[in-house]
Amino acid sequence: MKAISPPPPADRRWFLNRLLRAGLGTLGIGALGWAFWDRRGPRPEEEIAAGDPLPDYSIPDQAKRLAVVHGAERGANVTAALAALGGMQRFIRAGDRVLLKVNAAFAAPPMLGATTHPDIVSHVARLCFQAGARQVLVTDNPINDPASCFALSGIAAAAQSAGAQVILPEARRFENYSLPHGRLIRHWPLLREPLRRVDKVIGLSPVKDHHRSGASMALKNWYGLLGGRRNIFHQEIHTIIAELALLIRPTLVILDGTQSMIRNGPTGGSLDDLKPTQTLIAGTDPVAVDAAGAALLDKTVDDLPHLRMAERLGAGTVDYRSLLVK
Amino acid sequence: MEGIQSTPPRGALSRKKAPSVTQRWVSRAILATLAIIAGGVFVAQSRFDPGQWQAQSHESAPPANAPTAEAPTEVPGLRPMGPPETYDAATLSDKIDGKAELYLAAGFERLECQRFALADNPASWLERFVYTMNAPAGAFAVYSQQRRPQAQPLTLAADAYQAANGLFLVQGVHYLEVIGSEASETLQARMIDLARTFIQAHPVAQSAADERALFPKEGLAADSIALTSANAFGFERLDRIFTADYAADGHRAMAFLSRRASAQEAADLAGAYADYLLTYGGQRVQAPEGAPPVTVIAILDQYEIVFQRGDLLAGVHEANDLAYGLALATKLYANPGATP
Repeated sequence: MKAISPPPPADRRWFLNRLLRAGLGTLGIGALGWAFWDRRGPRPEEEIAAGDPLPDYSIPDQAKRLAVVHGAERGANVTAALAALGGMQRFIRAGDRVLLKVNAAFAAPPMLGATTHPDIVSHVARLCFQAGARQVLVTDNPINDPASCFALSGIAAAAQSAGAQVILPEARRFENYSLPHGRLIRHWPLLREPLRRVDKVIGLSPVKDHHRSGASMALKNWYGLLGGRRNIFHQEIHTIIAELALLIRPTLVILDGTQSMIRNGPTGGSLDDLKPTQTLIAGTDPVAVDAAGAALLDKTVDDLPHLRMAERLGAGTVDYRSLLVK
Repeated sequence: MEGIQSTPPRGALSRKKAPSVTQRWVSRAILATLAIIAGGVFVAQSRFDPGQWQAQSHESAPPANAPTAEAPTEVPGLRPMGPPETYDAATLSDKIDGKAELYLAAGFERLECQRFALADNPASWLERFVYTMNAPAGAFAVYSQQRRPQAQPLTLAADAYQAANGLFLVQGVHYLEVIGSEASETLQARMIDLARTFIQAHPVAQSAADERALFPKEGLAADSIALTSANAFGFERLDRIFTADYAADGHRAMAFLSRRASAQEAADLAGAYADYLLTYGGQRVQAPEGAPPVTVIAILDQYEIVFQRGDLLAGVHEANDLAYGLALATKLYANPGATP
């Protein structure tokens, strides 16, 4: 151990030296505080929303249209519906990056109809690539464990077989979001990162009965973009679905009613809960698509209050017949 | 003045022992560590987002309760695909989403579920859901509300059936669902094994007869008796209502029964339900002479009949023919099950 050096004498020079150091230290801390000072303070939520709104993924020069086709084979139904709408190339351009928002809510086998059928996922992904898409992403924030949901529903394998990439809802992919003029979607976690990475959004959803909302179709499918304790929205289920209709302006939605879950939704659990309604609806107005899909559940627009609420918010029309392609 | 030192001697301010070299290096190391921590905090806080934090905290949250082996995990021919998951009332919707409300209204306490794969064919799997309710009536309520009309009854339990890919039964306070990944005979056989093992592990004493025994047998549609826990017929005060479907000669109606806490409560509820129907456009209809003391209301081209007898609230819902509805109400009224 080294010998302890004797303390310096406390003379004038020593004093001035200490004074200078103390002054510099104070100035440094002050400068650091100055650098951290947020002169504007936290911005109101409305300002955040207005400053960074979700883009409108719909194609502006296209009128809202809707096609209804019938058949027992999902791939053929998708092909026929898109042909009626002018083909996938009307929606997807060369180099587009596309997000397929599926319903992978439950770790359930595809035959139960609780999730988007894998045949729909693979077929639509292939059509996107054929239309020139550069990248196709598939995502959802399921109710159950995400990896299990994507695997057991067959969606992960279907996406992979078509060359699409599954994006799991990891925490880092969420951002707080406030829907402009929204009442429920305010400063709420949104699965935003996949939406930032794409030019087009296509919703792929099954037709299901829903114990709370009456139906889970194209609009309810956007619920899977929310994070956090979203089950609190079940108390205002119609309002949240109407706000979701305003939140996402998709390029296209495809509602698969080849088999419809007519009871015990949204989980089902038995093949007896399914009815072979053999119908697929595709369109650019999700409100109209759901209005058309209500009949597959033996319901009317009046049975599903969120449809008229969404219409009043300006998200679309329940008069789907006016949009039907001939 | 001697003895008083007015000026400190040179070096008095520095009388403290100077730190050693080791102490200096230790101090520098501590300061460097603090600086690194401060830098880390600064970087982390600059990336902080309450939304991400909220989502992460929700998604990584463990199940509400530690598994308690509600159901056996050792089943011949089946291999667990993972540990059991458990959910309570606060987390039930994390598993079954919007259907949670059905269970919560019926007295849900906990859910334990677990997936099993066939030992000799892991691609085939099934999932067992054990819902524990606060009373057997709650288990029957969720069972009956979801009963599949084309399913095959099973003799495993008093209330049990099998569908192409699933098995459903009530055992005491438990509602058991077993759902397969496919419709196969092998999986069906394993489902029955699983159900049988569960029943053996959860014996129940002979249950006391409830309102189900009071429905007239004539014209009763098979497997139509159900229990609605809350908000029956759209009237929020009608809870714990047993219903049964009847049909004959092109006529149809639904009978309902509910034992209340007292005759007074049954009478009050009968009156309130009649008022509710009248509020929504119903019209009183005079019951024919000789009919039991019932209130008859015509609404939406159908008939509603309601009465109280002892502690029983009873009636007929949506009868498409007045005479048929009154005949059914008369049989219900004549039933001796009411406690005065």
